[in-house]
Amino acid sequence: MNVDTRARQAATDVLAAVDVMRRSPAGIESRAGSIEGFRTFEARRRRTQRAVAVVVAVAIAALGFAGLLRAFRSAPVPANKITPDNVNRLEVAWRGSIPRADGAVVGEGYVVAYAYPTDNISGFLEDCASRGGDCAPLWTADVTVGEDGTLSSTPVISDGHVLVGGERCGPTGELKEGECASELYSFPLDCRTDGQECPPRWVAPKAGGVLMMGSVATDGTYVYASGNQLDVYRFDCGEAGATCEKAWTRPAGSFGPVLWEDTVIVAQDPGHLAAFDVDCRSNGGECEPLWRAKLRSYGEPVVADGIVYISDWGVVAAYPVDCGTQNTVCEPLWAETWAEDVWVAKPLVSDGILYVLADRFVPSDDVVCGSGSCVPLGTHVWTYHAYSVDCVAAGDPCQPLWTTETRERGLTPTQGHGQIDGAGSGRFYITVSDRSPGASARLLVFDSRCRTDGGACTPDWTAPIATSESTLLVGHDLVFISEGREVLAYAADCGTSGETCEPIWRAPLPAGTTELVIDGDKLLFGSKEDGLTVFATDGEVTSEEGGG
Amino acid sequence: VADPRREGALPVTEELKAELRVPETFEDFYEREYARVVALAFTLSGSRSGAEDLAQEAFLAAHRRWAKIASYDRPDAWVRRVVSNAAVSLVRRRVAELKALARLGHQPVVPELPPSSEEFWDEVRALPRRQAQVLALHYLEDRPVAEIAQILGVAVGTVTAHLHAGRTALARRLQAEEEA
Repeated sequence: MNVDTRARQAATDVLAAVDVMRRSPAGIESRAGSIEGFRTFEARRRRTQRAVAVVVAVAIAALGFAGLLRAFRSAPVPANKITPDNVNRLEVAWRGSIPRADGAVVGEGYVVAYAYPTDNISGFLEDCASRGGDCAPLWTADVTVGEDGTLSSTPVISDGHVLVGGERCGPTGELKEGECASELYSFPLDCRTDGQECPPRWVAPKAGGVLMMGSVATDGTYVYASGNQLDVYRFDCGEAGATCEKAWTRPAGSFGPVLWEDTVIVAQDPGHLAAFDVDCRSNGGECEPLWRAKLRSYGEPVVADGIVYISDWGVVAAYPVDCGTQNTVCEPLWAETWAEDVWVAKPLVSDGILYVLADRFVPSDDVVCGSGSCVPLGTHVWTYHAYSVDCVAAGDPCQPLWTTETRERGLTPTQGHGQIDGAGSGRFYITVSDRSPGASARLLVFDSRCRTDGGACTPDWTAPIATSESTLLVGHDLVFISEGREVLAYAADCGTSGETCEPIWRAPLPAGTTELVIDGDKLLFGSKEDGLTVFATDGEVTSEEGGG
Repeated sequence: VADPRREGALPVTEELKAELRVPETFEDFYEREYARVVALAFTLSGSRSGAEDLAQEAFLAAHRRWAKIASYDRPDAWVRRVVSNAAVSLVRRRVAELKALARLGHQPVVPELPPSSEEFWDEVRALPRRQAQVLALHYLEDRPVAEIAQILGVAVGTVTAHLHAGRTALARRLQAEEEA
């Protein structure tokens, strides 16, 4: 069969496949309301841009540069951490005067708030104001230079800089209309104090027109990023304004990368996991992987104690980080399998236990309709499995220490949060929302060693929550739940026999609050309504650990 | 030229719209082009579950500046160029979106291609990027060389060269595959 004949047949097959996709319930759902979504998205982006400009201008006009500096420098520096003893003294320490924040990262005395999809980032001093005050950003940056930029990564703070991936599209610079290039930017944390635009210290080059990353990892000296031609790059970047050259590259990655000692691990979409020596090349050339492994489709690696864990359709597998040295094809050290249509969430390792969540969707006869299309309703059966990391690391055919199962009824196939909520302080946390009549959303808290015989565990304690879409944060023997318009804190050890617990602290939240972050004595979050909010304890209770 | 619609003298045909350069609505453009653009993303990315996401990104970009793009001679070419540039990327923006995509992929609605077509597109994707783009547009959309040049923003001669080189390389690869 010649090229033309095969090509025509292949084209016909693709069009038929796309037609099936378009007519499928999931395809319909993914597009339902999309044109309206485009309009909403665009209106929000423009409003945010205007608001940022107004806020920055007003802050500077009102305070002047000297006033801003005084405000930043006069803030106290508490030295305690949030604990069950002092959590009830958490109050708003300051608010970041930006119109919207979709998250925040903290480090080296700074808070960097970021906003999607406008891709603005704003830098604040971590202790920038007295109790209850407002803070204007020290600096701001727009990591999407072009009008059409749509991509960015979660910022990472390292070695006095914030690293973030962004995208710019033409027509600008060397880019023509319709051309886009994703780039990696580094901004000094102490870039400015006047709230103005911070120029990047360096910009990683577009590599052959492409460099697109979902996340970056850094060891403080080098930056590792995934490119959009399934490459992974190691950047060793120089002085201010310098173009950052890639130290090595290898067609390999799109998920991750994650670092473990001298190995960088990336998962390729679709179907491969690969590990590289961080020092494999220094001349910009290609690296051979130390080892690689086959996956079924998607997967995001997790590394803990020298073991890489990755889940995939119907399987969770563990590989030793040192399983090969010369492009070795590795078999899993350990794996657990389910049917291929069972979706397995990104695993979590905590307190010596590997937690795995498998989701089976059982459709009912019900459908939900809107925008001229319908999608099926059904029940998600979420099965949680806890394995001993010691057993997995030994490569033994481990059975779970314990399991538990929850069900969420009345959902579409793509609804339900489907992630492992959290673990820590010897406990494991699940949120579940059942939409069947009479049911309600609850937080379920388990002893992480409740059983060792593979049997089903029951919760130590529970608490009513607004929705399983709540965000949950575990730290310092506390669990924080952000739900709707309120954040609640519970003591991790508040029950042992299935009782319903009461929160020991609660506070109102702005609308659209994103993930919570704990840093020392502070609890931070971004919100779509109020920008950045920072709670802090009053500083009277001082723990031995110090910090802040 | 007076707009004959105001006088009710002529039916508003596609030809008349083209002649009068009546801008198409985004909704009409979306409905007309979406499936084809998904197919292009599908062939160039190799990711069935990611193809719709790539197409959505391209249409989102088009929507943002539709007032301008609608006035282009070929808005369809613009959106194809965006998809062609982005389609080699399989990196999703955020983990949450990755999970959402994965969950969409979980549904039994993403059909497998027949093995021979799967292998064919695998070989196309293994070609240099521009050759792969030219071949996909040529075979999938049956577009003449001049249109492909317009979509990719390159000279007609460049497209011809890539098409020739791509076909030659593809024939070699497919032959080797059949012999194997």
